[in-house]
Amino acid sequence: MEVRVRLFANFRELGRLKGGGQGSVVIPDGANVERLLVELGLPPDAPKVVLVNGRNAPLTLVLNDGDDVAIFPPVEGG
Amino acid sequence: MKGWHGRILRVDLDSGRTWEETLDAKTAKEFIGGRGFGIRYLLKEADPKGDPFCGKNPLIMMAGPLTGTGAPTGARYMVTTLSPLTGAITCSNSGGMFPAELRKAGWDGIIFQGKASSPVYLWVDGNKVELRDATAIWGKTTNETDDLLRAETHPQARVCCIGPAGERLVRFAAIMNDKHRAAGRSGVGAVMGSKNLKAIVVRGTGKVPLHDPKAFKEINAKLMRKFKDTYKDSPPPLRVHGTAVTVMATQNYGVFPTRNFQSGSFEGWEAIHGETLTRTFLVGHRACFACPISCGRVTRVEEPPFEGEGEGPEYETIYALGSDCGIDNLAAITKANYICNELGLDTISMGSTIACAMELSERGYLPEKDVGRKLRFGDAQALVELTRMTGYREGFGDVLAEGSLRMATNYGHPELAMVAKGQDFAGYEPRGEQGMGLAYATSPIGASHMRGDPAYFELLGVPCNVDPLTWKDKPPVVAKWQDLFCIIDSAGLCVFYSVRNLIKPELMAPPVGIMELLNAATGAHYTLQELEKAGERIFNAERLFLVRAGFSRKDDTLPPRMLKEPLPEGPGKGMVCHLEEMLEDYYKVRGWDQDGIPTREKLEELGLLELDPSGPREK
Repeated sequence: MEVRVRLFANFRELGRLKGGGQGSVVIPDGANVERLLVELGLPPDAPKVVLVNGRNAPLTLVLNDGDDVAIFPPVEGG
Repeated sequence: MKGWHGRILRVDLDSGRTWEETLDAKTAKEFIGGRGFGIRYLLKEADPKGDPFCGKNPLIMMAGPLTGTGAPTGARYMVTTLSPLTGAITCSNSGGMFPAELRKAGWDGIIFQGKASSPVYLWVDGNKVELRDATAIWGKTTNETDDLLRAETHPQARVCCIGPAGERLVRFAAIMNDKHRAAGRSGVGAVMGSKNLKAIVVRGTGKVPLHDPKAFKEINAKLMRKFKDTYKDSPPPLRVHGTAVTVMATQNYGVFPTRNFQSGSFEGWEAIHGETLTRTFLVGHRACFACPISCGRVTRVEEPPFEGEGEGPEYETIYALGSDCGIDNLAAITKANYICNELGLDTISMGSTIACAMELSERGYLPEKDVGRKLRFGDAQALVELTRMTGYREGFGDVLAEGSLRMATNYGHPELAMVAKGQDFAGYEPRGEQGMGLAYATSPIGASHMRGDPAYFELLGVPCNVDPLTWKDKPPVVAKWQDLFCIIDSAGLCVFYSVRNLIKPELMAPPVGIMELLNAATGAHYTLQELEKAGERIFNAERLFLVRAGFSRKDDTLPPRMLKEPLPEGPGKGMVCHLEEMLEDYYKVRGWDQDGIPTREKLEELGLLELDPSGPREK
């Protein structure tokens, strides 16, 4: 299946994703968020927020074909 | 005393007299410093129903016991007074270098009372204190004032001052320090202007005395090692992109306020995002005193007609002057930010008030002749011009200077002002972030993201993820984080560092790291329970002041748009803010009655009865 991934800030460079950190990624059916992170080559212990279709997603969440995944590092808005 | 100097500088602007007041150790421990000291003095000395612009309203500036000590981000001070925007208490916080300088000069804080008969500034050179004539600098911008006063006193002195907006009593005028840092919210600059006080200039060459310097140094070293380790792969995103990087987070959650909170998704977000700022106008980054993060944006715009240089914009500024006004022109937003800094205006209320005027105009409630132009969302030129006009109260700027609620009320539509207790929302949409709705409604100073910022656990995964769209689980967490922010703001620390590094990573956020630092600095031997109780005491003391000013449950509310109109798009599509359900539980958690009044038992438990000798209060 294929999911749409958007990486932000330093994850754009850290992640294995061409096209400025945005694009489609093919992963096996039944793969979860953790599997996708491995696929993307993101440091597993780096603090991050993962949104799937605009909702907070745990590492164990099983992804579906066509999901929109946004991943960003710690930020704050003062 | 250690950590605290135990010295407060008192200034009577009526008589020109200045004197030193000592602070006792018990009060210091119970109220910590900064924000806690502010409310403690306000409760004792201000008339809760008084006129913010009368001489009796004290202007209280307090640093914390960690300010200027070298503790990471120990750089901050709090300005507490009656707000001309909300009619009740305000406290507004700032960092930079000025607060640490005040502490190095040997003072924990300054309290101004009265009104000078002509413009003055206060020159604090260590123990030497002098009120000086400021007639020649009245009318100058904050940048000019900073340069002129350092030339007149000492080149390494630190300046906090007001600009033309504070002089003209714009109800959301800021107090600027070190040129680009702002105690921005609720009109503290207007109170300073009403006192004919243009600036405070401080030079300090001493050190803050510490209880256990060796232990303090070890804790600092440990914290610095941890910080470096966290960012070993790449520097902190806040240093690289500033707070502006948060645009992508709120946009993805659908809580990026757009067109006066008509939506939480802005189609032009990428043009005004932090990563775009980094690519376009960023020149460098700047840190406050003892800060390892360095999130300040030094920027320059060369695009006509918005040329300029200075610092900013922050995330909140980008929301207020950008998406909330339907503007995707980053040059114009940055230019309006520079104008706000130079004239001394709160960027949040400035943008939110213009956004409100844009909606009033588009709906036909605000006549074109009043504004002098056809006002529509997305008009970048209007944004920049109206910002300048507000600072000088020129033309329609005089109407904007009264703030969104007064303006919208005058045009017959108060419901279009996106405010709580008269103060404009920060950059988070409460329908898509339920805990933020509760925090806006119950913040003592009116809407603010900096009174317990639920964005941390609702959007940013700190210390863990809590779904932003649920509401039943929010009251105890919001209350706890409100108390936590009282502790951070009172200690003199920055929220950005503290919540990620000085609390135990649990949802109820035990402030163990702050306790360690405070104990090494002060020797006050806080237990965790005592420190958390102090946070709760400060929050309740602020509530007590509000209650005495006539506030109650009826004021803990949000505009009807948040409570009745479903969010039109994004992940929170169809949601309203479930405030009433949350309030019921929130009051129970707080130990307040059904009307939001702290019970006698709660006040007694917190040791606040003695500060409330008035007995039964009006409702």
